[in-house]
Amino acid sequence: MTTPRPDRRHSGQTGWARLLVVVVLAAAACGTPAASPAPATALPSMTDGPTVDGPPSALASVDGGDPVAGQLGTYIWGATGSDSPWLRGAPITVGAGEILTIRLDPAVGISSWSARYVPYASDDPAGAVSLGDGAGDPAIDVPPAGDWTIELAVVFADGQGDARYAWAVRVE
Amino acid sequence: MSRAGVSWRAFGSWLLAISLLMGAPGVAAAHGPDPVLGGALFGQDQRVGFRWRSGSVPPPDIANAIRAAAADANASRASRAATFAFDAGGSSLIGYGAEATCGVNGIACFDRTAAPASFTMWLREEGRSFDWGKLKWCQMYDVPPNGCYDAETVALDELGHVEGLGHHVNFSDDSDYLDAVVQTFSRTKPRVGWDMHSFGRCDVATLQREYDVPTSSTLISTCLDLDTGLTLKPSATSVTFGKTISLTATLKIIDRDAYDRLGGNWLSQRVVKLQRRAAGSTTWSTIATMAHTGAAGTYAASTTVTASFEYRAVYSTPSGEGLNGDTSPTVKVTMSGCGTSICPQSQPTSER
Repeated sequence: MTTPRPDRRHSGQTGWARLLVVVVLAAAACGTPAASPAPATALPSMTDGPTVDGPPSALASVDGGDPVAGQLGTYIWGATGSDSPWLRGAPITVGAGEILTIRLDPAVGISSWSARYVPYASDDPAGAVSLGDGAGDPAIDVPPAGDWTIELAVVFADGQGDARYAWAVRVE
Repeated sequence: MSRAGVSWRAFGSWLLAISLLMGAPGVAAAHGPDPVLGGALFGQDQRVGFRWRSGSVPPPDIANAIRAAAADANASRASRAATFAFDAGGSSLIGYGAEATCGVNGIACFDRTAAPASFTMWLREEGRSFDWGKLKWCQMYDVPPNGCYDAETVALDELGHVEGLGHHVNFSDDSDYLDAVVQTFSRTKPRVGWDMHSFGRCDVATLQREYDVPTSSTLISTCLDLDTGLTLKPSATSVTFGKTISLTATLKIIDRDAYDRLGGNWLSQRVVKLQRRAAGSTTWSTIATMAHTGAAGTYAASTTVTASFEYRAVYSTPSGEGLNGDTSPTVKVTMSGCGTSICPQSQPTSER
């Protein structure tokens, strides 16, 4: 773990301490699943990058924000594959009601995708709530205010494989 | 028996359907056999020898776990999937350590590009620091701590991939986690399923479909849902009173492309019952459990004809297999007269 490092440079973005207050207040007003308390420790740094022979990076962004590459989890790529634990995700901060759009880099066709979220502190996907599914480039309505892990499962076009990406999303 | 081609396109369509179901809140995901990976399958019962990668030899405890996983795969495949064995001259390499070519967060990985000639597999090294934490292999501790990964389970997961299995698609609540060891997320001690040392029924289902079963008596995985076909043939359709006839039934799996190598398979050593009813009656009576003849999928029973009857064979849906029961078409055996036998005063014309 490293010092919290919001990856989204959003105009008007406030500091983490101030966010914590907002998140806690907003979470208290939210419906299920209950938002977890803001992480006691910092969100992890994001060190993922595209692998030469592996699946593409998934870059998430909201309108006006910089893209953040999701943590690459378990994947199948051609006749190869890698198994990972449940990941809490690469940190990104968004505003409530925003839409998170994801594009792949390098561009790879998407046959289908599905997204779900759990409280950030979760160690696995138990109790995950769907954020939708579809074909083509994913566009996801962000969860209510709180700290969450969003997992995106992608099935690549033309039978190239599938992959899971994770973001630690702080929703203001 | 026919075998449908395995394609990533079909796999993708299948996953699409699955994922669409998964996306609906409150709707349980579809459930079934593990999906199939791309690339060539190994040969049926192919013995695949593996050895340690030079310079990346696992420590003894991990090596033992990998060998045990190979034995687990062989013992629990319930199919003609390839078998794995350590072989100092083997062409498949298994490595351990920092040189692993796994994804950045991966604890283990595989490459089956060279199948069916060989495969490669890696496990990351004990103590490696990831963004998600520090990797702990349970085998490296006298008292495995909570949060450790069982190397035998993880290696079995990878060997499942090597055989051609994709990640099992669980119900949304993961209530079916134990149905497969080939999982998207391996569990750590002490969560249920952290130390699975045999393929789950939905791993086996795909292995059976892709590699076939060893014999016609092999039980079909309950993760499958295959239709069967039952026939019945009498040795004669018209006999005199008191004669004995034999009835022969055959039982097989319906030959459908979706059933891959299982389609058209004979089914032996199952419970097939013979029923009869008098002509005009709607009530069937079971008169025998048909004996397996020794020929694949063939069952027989004899009965003495005392009246004209209709017969059918019945294979009830079993609880312990992924087969759907079937009932044969009805065959009629007519009593044509008394012949040389002495007919009873009141010759029965219906079942009493």
